[in-house]
Amino acid sequence: MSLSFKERLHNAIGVQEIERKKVYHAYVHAIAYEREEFDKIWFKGQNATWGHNFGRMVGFRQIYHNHTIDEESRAAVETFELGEVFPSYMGGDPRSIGASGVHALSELCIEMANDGKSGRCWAITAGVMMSALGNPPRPKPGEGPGPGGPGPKPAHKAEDYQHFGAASWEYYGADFIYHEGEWKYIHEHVVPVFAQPFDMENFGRDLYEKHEENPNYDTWRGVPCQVTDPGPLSNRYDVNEPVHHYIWECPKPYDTLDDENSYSPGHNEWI
Amino acid sequence: MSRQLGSNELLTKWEKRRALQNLMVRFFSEDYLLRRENKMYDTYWSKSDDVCLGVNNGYYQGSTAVKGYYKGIEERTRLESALIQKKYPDQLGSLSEEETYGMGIMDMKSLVAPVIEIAGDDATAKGIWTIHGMNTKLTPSGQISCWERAYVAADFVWEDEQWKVWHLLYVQDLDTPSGYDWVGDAPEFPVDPVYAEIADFKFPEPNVKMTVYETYSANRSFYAPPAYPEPYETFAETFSYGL
Amino acid sequence: MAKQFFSDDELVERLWDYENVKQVMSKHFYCYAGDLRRQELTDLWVKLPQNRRYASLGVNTGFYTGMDDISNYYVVQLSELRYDQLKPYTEADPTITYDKFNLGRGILNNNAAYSPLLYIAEDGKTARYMCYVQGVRAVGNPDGTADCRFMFGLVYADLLKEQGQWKIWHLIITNDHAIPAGKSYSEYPMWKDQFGSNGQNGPLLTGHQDPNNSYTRDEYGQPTVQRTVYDPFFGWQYLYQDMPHPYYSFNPNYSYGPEGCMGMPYYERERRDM
Repeated sequence: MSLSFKERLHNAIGVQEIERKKVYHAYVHAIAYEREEFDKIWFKGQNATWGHNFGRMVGFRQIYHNHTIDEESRAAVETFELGEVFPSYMGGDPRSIGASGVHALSELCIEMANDGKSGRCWAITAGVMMSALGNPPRPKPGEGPGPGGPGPKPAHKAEDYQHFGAASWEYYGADFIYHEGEWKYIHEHVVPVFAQPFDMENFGRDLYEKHEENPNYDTWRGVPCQVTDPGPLSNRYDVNEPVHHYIWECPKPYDTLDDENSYSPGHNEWI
Repeated sequence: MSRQLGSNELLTKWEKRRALQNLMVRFFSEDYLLRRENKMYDTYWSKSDDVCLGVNNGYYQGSTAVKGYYKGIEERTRLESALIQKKYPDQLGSLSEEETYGMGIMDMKSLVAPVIEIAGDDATAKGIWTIHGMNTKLTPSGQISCWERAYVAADFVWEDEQWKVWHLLYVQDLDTPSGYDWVGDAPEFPVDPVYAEIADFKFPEPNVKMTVYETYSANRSFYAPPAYPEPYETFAETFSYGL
Repeated sequence: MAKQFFSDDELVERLWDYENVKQVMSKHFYCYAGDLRRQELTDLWVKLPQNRRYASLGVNTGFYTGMDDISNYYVVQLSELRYDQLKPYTEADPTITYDKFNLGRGILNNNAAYSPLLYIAEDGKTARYMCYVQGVRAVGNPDGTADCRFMFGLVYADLLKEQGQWKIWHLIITNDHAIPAGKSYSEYPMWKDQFGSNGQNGPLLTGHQDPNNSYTRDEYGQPTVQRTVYDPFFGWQYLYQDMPHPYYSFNPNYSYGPEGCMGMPYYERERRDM
């Protein structure tokens, strides 16, 4: 399809806006500024989706709830705990203080629809999860403080805290739409591949040994939050995992966002 | 640029630059991850005979040698996949060769810090990227995951209305097991009899053997990254990432 | 379509501005990895005298200001450090000469710059940039051992368009964590809080005063303007305020230079707006 100069320019600007929004997402997610992300850069409709290997959240309300209630409040609860042991943290920004890890985004492959209404991108994230003041033993979901957690608050001491750093590598497929004069996220799909702490582990070797101990070992870790479509939607790397279980590919040149050209088939009406 | 370009020409050049960026993400991030090395030559390389691939220990010069490099990866992958299938017969025994191809081995290469120049005449382009990778390999003792730090730099040629790789330089600073010091002895584990024969696999050597780049060791002389490209008009004015 | 603020020609120019700013910063990382810092200051940094005077380079502990101080720290002091690092090699092996041709022996410095976030000012004269660096760094010894580390930190920059070319004006290279390869980060000594009680915490030992971090210990030097620019003890507390956002024109109070707010607590930032 041959596009006019104006149409090509619109799509070119879209490429850079999509790149910016992917990166903006990475940084604000890193500091648990979830409201800033979801208020500013998401399409707030029923077909907004957020997928992971554990399942797919469908509809903006579900995505917003899981991220703001879960992520933000967990970050704040951890900060209040930290403040009791490290008083300098008291009064700091409860969401961002101490954060220093990010789903670091490598260069993106971006394709824009010929109709100018959407764009799609794919990228690897060589992510790191870091805690400036470490990571004390955490209560299991529902057992400790925080959402749904009636259990007693654990009393941490300074010696419970250790530096924490881990690599968490994933890749993303994301769809954006041009809605009300802005490029907005409509679909995010995260495919986690491996994670390991710095720098004593070797996940390839570890998985080999786990299979030696237990031939039925698998990497599935369950569904940690409310989703509409439960997973597994993809599998992590494993020593006997077929490659096609990683699922998503880079976008190809395309005309319009539809079930053939989407990281969330079945959710491509803008409702 | 020697002459002033109009907005339409500048936009076209911008689109070509982004096409090149997409090509390299597909080539190094997507297709290595999805184990498509066996299709890389046909998908990404120029039809020209004077293609060239430089790696740490030499150059694969000419199309036959470069094809041989990818054939080597394909043959090793077939062997690895067959051995992994043999290792886990209950889970994998019923799968076809196509379904098992590449499994259990992973090359995950993230590509960052692009410097790209499109020639003034639009016939060629040059670029460099940093690679931060995590590659899981099959050894006679089973899988081991390795941190990779590398640079990929390339000359591209505009062919059949798309960019094709002409000369590629892919040099590694690190390709070393995670969880271990980068300069210590390689970790040793007991040999798994199912995987023992992987030690006998011989990868095709470069046809021009030379030290192009050394992986890091405590006694290594200093290696700067390959030079990044500068603006140029025609390929005759610039350097080549090939021989 | 939204009402167009820029003409088509301006929009195309801004498309290229985005790519060129990203490209200048990529070049910085290749120069940094290759110890080509003199080349970097010459080719990539501001050239006009009035801009060179107010150029700055920030590290965790302060700002080097003006190109003379920047050059002294960034190029001359690095060269001195490299000579110091070469000396044990020449002592162990007399065939290795103590000269510039052997500088960098046993050094690895590979920086992967991720997630570049950048905005071009609406007036088109400046740009703000931020990225996240995952580096690997090693300093070798002639016995074959080496101090090998994963290095992490955010990098910020203001760039200026000088005679049609984007140039680095203010650069900040922060350092978060320096994790030894092959060792567990959890075994690395914890930082302490100056306001600790019950004797469980000692004197202030925050991220940038960490004697276990060979990068901060050897390479921060004595900045021209000494103040906290970034302290890993508090992490990315001010990231949302510090990261680039859309803006109309350069405001020194919000720059990545010493007159900006980097590293300042909220009450100091608010005072700057008065």
